[in-house]
Amino acid sequence: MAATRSNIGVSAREIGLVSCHVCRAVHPKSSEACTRCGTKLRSRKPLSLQRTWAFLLVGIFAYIPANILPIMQTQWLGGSSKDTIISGVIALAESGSIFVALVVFVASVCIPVIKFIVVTGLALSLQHRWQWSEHQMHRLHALTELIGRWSMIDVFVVAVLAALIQLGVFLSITPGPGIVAFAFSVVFTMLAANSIDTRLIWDAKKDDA
Amino acid sequence: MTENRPVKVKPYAHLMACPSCDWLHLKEPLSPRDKAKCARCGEVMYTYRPHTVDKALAATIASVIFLLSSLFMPFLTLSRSGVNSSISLLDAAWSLVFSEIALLGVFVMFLIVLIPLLRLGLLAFVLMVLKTGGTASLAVKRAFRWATVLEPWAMADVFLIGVVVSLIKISELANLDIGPAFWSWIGLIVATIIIGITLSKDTLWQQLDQT
Repeated sequence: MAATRSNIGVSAREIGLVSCHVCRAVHPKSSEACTRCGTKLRSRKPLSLQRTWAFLLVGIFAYIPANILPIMQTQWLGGSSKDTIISGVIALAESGSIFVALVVFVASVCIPVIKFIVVTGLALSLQHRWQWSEHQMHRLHALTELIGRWSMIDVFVVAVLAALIQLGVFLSITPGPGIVAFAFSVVFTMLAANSIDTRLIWDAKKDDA
Repeated sequence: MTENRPVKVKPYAHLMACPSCDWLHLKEPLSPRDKAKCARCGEVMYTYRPHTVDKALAATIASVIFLLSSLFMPFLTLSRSGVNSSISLLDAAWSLVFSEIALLGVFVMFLIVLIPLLRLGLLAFVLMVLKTGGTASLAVKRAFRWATVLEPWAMADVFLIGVVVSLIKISELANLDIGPAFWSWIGLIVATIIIGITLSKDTLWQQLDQT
């Protein structure tokens, strides 16, 4: 395959080159800005780990009220009920829509928790130079970037229901504060995953043998 | 007297560093629809898509048309006990923005209307400039950069799953009918996928460099 013939056997940084983060043009290390797209050249994302930790902590903290506070309130003639993320999933499952309940559970619980664990693990591993397989770490990172945005499903469900179900006294659904906390949690966890510079994973690898 | 303009050093055009692990490669011409993967980490570094400007431009324009028409046509119609309520996406986002939890409306407005529209608009602008042979000013390059950055934040596809879940969730409470905007939204998602398939960012950057 083409990849094996074109392999130079060294990273750009090791021989004094910088690749533009935006357009990927390669420049000598002394260049300040990319001559192709004008972006400031940086060999690695500055403060990658600090940013990752900051975004991740906000994401994790926002996830707590997201689960405790109601995400929506349903009112009908003579009654009302409040739903949290979990109670919403249970209600869906009890009404017989097991598959849909599963989709919401995966999007609102599994994906966020997996992302918290993976991003924490990657950041700790980079910080303490743990000897994890670079390929594994790389794959885990790619996975979190891929699945992250799908957590937003519940936010859209509440938005659609609240916008649609406005039948006055008969039936109305209003969004609860929990859904905003949840949306913030998803956004900040996406930013955390995005702040990890995957080049750092491979920088530690010196002897390929 | 110091100049802030970029230093005029010729980029090493024949080199490509893997965006994911920084491993250096010699760039090689690819055959149509082929992609070059990093020898170390396996990440796709660049692709070759024949007629990328024409095809991606067509898909981008289609996406814009689908998105705009989805906004104003009825998306869903709800009927229960003789009361009908039909909403378009703009109505929906608008009613949320003016509800108690305005932030939710703002979020949704950004993720499914403003960011996708901005991203598509920027992309259309860049592709038009390339198509018409105009000069790639810094503004054009910035536009392409932002179109790339905004990509994961345009959530039309995630929204569709949210709508389907909502439909199932309230199917017991009321009758729901799907409006024309729903189908146009599916068109938007298909056209956006086609942009992803036909667009070779590396080719575009090279063309932007040559003008």
